[in-house]
Amino acid sequence: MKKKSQMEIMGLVIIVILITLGLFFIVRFMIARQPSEIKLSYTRTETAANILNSLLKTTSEDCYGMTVKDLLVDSAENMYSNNHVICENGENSTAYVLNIIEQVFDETLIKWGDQNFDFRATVGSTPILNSTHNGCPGEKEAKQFYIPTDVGLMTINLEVC
Amino acid sequence: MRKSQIGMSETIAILFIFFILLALGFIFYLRVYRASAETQYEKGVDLMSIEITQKASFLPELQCSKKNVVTDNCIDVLKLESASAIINENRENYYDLFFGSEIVVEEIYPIKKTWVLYNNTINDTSTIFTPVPILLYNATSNEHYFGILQIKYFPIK
Repeated sequence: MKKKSQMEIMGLVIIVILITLGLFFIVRFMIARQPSEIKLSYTRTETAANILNSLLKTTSEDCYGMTVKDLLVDSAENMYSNNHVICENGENSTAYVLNIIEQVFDETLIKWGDQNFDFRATVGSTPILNSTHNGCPGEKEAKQFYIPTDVGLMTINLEVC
Repeated sequence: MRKSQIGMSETIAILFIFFILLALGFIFYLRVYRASAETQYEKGVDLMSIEITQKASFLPELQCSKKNVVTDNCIDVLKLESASAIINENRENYYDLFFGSEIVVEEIYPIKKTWVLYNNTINDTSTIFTPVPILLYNATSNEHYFGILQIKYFPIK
């Protein structure tokens, strides 16, 4: 009698061990099953750096051959005066460069899946330009460029998230 | 006789449950193994698409250079116009570099223009799209344009 009950307890213990092992594998499988993030991380890093790098060197269409960088510098240097460069379409450098930046972001980050970003040009704590799409409160990749101007060092910051 | 029959039934029931548990465990193991293999495959495909992107970005046939100094992240438009025709005519020579993929250069500012650099599209497979923002240099007008190098990779299963 005693031996039989001992056998039954042993059987129960084996079943419990098997179920525990099964549960352990299920949990392990669920934790390990995450999508590959290699490409996502690569794309974010490359995108932020390459967009800023290319954008700053881009020549404007009808603003006396000035580059985006030149237009940003002009915008910063004339932030307290009205001596901005007036482009061939009648817009001043600030409005003109903002149009270029927004056009580029519309055709890149927004077109590639509504990607959120935050673009800021500042001199010290004074904002010069700002173009944002839902901001970047969470995980992000940021790239900064520093441009010397007559009014101080201008920081161009692009966050892609 | 009756007691031994009950004993036999008990043993059979226990063995039945045991084998069911064993079968469930085996099925689960196979599923985990398959998922792990799929993850490895996805990683491999991702790495291959990045490799193709890097090769396309640094293709000597397209790179901007001044006095033999290469400018990073820049494509010479004049080289691009000639190279796109030559690469598409000699696609088999570039297969080892780009495999089954489509590489397109698109100018998005100031005007919109597209060049198909390499096209070896494979149907009935997934597509991995990698865009790379680049600078397009026009040596004739000495101007830089904003462009995108678009790489679509079609992995073969």
